[in-house]
Amino acid sequence: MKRKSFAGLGLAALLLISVLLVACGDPTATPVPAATTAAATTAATTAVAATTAAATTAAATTAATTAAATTAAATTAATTTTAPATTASAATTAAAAKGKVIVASKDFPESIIIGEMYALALENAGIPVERKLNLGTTAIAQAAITKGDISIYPEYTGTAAGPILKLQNPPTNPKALLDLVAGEYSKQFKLTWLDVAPYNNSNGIAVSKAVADKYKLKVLSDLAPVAKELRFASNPEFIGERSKIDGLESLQKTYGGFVFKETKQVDIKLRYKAVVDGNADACVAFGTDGEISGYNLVWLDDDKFNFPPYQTAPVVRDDILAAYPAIKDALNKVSAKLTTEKITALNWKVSGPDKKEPADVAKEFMKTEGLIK
Amino acid sequence: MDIFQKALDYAQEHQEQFWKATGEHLTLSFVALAIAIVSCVPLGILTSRFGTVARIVINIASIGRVVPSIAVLLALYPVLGLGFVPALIALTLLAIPPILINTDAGLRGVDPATLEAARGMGMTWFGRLWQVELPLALPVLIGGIRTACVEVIASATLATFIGGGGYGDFILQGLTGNSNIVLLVGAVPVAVLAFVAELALGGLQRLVSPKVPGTTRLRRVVARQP
Repeated sequence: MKRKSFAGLGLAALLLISVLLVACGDPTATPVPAATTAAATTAATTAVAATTAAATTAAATTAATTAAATTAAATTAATTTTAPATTASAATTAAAAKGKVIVASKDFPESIIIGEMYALALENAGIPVERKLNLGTTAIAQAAITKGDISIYPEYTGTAAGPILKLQNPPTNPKALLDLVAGEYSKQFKLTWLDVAPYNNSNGIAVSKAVADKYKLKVLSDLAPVAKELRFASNPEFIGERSKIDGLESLQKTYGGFVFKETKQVDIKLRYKAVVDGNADACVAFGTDGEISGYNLVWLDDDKFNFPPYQTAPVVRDDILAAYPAIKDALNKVSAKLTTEKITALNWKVSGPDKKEPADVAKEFMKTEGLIK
Repeated sequence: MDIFQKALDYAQEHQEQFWKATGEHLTLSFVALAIAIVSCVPLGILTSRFGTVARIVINIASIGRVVPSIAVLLALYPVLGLGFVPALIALTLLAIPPILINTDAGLRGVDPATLEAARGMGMTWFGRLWQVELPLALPVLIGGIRTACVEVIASATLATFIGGGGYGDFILQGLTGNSNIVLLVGAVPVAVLAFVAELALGGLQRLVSPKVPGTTRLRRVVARQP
């Protein structure tokens, strides 16, 4: 019995320790909980971040060890890359100068599609590319790129201002926001923002057609007073820590009202299904989600400009950009082509009934736009 | 330790949300556990009597153990929709194997000589079960409940993916919003709950173990497990 109870205590202690470790460091600095505990199911969700981070590190190490072999192959394949690579090696880290450019994305269709476009554009420009698409959440992508495990990924100006830089009063003018974000990134993280795409994937709210007709809803001002009669499905971010700045609480401040009868937090991928299946009347919607028109929902305009703009651009590590200056031109050409209509259609090909692979959708787009052959 | 202070502040600012999550988490965990106990203890008694049935039922239950709860949740979603009920089902499935297996093992572990003596005294089938077998199997049975309880409290954090609520709401908000502070508001109570459940049920297990002179209380029973 003694031994058994000690084992129990030890297990519980491990759980607490792993939570502590996650608490005290940033996710990348704590591979310990992932390694020690299959037992730490309690901290399962917390450990996800650490595990993924550990996995990326491991992958990066393997990439580094095989770098010698791959560069040989890469240089023969693309002779243009050898010159910048050697000149930059003095100024930058060895991994950045000699390794492949690691293109990543976050874990939702739009990010994966755009990540794949970046990868294709770079390959077309003769730059050796490795893909780490569908990497994870904003936190994981940010940790990976600052650490050097990835080189490039698509990010939104609004997200950079929000969860990453935690700005308290982000400007609502797109250009002002971009300048502010780009400046802070350069200063704090040594990361460069290339050109933003013209589309805006801002936060908003969508309601079912029936509800829109019943309450005559067109803009968010219409929804504010009747929210108390409606059920709301939200992704975690919208009602989390940033709720006051670009989530539900900010809506309450800007518009008044907006106290829903019931607010249900669901996984981000299930928001629309909740409305379609009748489990909710309204849900958080992003401007370029194909589901809005696909499921015949009604998008309500942010008529009082409550939300900051969410424009996409490639975020690139400064050392990688110095090693491969051709990245800039190649990716700016891609961004220029991404309009709201086009990206919405691409998203729907993946998340709608077609269920196409993001990689195929991206490739098709790049060909029709004449960006690759 | 600054981050814990901040987490505490955040919880105080969001008290309504926090207590709602606490209620949801406790309800989910205890209802799932209760259903599992009520259904699996009788089933365990049954399997301990019939060898073939035991092998089949316990192996099926063990499969449930291999399938991750998150997979069960997402598989149930299209059928049962969002919210409390599908989350409850997934958690109940998780609680079943340890309780079933331990009930079975505990009853099988009872010394045949003791049973023979009970039969010799003229005790009925039910009398033997109720007065001899179950009390002797209780420490092992409670061990199963203890395992299940900690697993369920931990896994109830996954309910948030399908709108089941609970502390997982904060954990997911923290993960997606890049905020360890909010993450801790969910993670610390879960760890504390699991810790308390582990200690309390461990204590109960010790309390119900038969006292045998010259040994610590549980050792004899544990030593006899198959």
